[in-house]
Amino acid sequence: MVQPVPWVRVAEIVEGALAGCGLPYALRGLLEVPLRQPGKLLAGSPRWPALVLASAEAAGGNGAAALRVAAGVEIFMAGVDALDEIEDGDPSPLVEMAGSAQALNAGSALLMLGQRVLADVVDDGVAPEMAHRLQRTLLDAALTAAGGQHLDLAAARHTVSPDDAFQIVQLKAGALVAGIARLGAQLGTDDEATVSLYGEWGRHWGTVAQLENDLRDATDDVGKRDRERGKGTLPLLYAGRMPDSSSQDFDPDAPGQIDAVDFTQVVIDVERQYAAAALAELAARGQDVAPLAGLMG
Amino acid sequence: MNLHTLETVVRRLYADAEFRKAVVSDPVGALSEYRLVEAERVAVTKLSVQMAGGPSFYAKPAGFWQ
Repeated sequence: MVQPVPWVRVAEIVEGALAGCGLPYALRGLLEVPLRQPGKLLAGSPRWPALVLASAEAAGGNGAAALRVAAGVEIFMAGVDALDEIEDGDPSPLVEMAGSAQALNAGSALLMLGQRVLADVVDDGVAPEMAHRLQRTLLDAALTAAGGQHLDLAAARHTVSPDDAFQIVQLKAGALVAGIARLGAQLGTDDEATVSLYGEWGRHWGTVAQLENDLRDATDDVGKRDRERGKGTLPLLYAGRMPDSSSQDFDPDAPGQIDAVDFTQVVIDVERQYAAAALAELAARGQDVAPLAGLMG
Repeated sequence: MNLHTLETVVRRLYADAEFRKAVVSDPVGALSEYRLVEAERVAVTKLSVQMAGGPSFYAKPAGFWQ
């Protein structure tokens, strides 16, 4: 079984992978930048490793392999996030430090290093066929998210419908969380129907998490990047505050806007119910879903 | 998920007090004209109860992406 708080060990694997990656010292330094950004393990927030380990624990997975997979996912997702920031034109510490070209190279290197760490699960007793399956799961999720990112980037230039916005959330956040939940589950079970249920849970839970984030960004004065970028998130679309609006201030008390929050909360509630239903089905199959329920708060 | 239908229902909840009351007292009957699946009907009912002064159905965000 996975130990309750194994973050130190996962962080050691991440740092060991950096130290042993054989890249020039300056590039290694750049790789550390996304790995130490808020929301990352080395910054004290083990978001992605927590998802891997919760799924692995729920499925009764191999503890040592789960730690390595968690480290590989953390590195890979740091690369995804770094590239996402550049593509979206968001503030990027990596770009500020080294410029776009070096930032793109560092983001790509993180994707490769993450996959290499994942491939090393054979050293933890995982069969090569399973290691291949784990890599395939991660890459399938990332490819789906790349398709979602393509739609998201295109949507920034065109009017999108709420259905489009919802689909983008499912294809990006939903697909990534689904894939990583599947990845953890595969460490404990080879029953594809059960693994698919983990993916089902992840797809809905990832959608909930992203919509909560979009809602906070729409209503919070601190995090209003989406409004400034004219991004077509579900709450902003519903409020009718698209890029051509004369005002970019979201006032939840203004007529016609309070229901934008409620509407998004209704969608979140529906997705939460679907996630809970997937957990109930997993529990009925004998899976220990407490770690996943814990992530949902 | 049928976002268009959900949007229509939420807007009507704001505009039509009688409809809002009906959803609270008999969600299945009041919402029968809309093609909502059970989870959607449950969520809309929770919103109606909240609008009628009942408990908030807003879940505390888990903050996965914060």
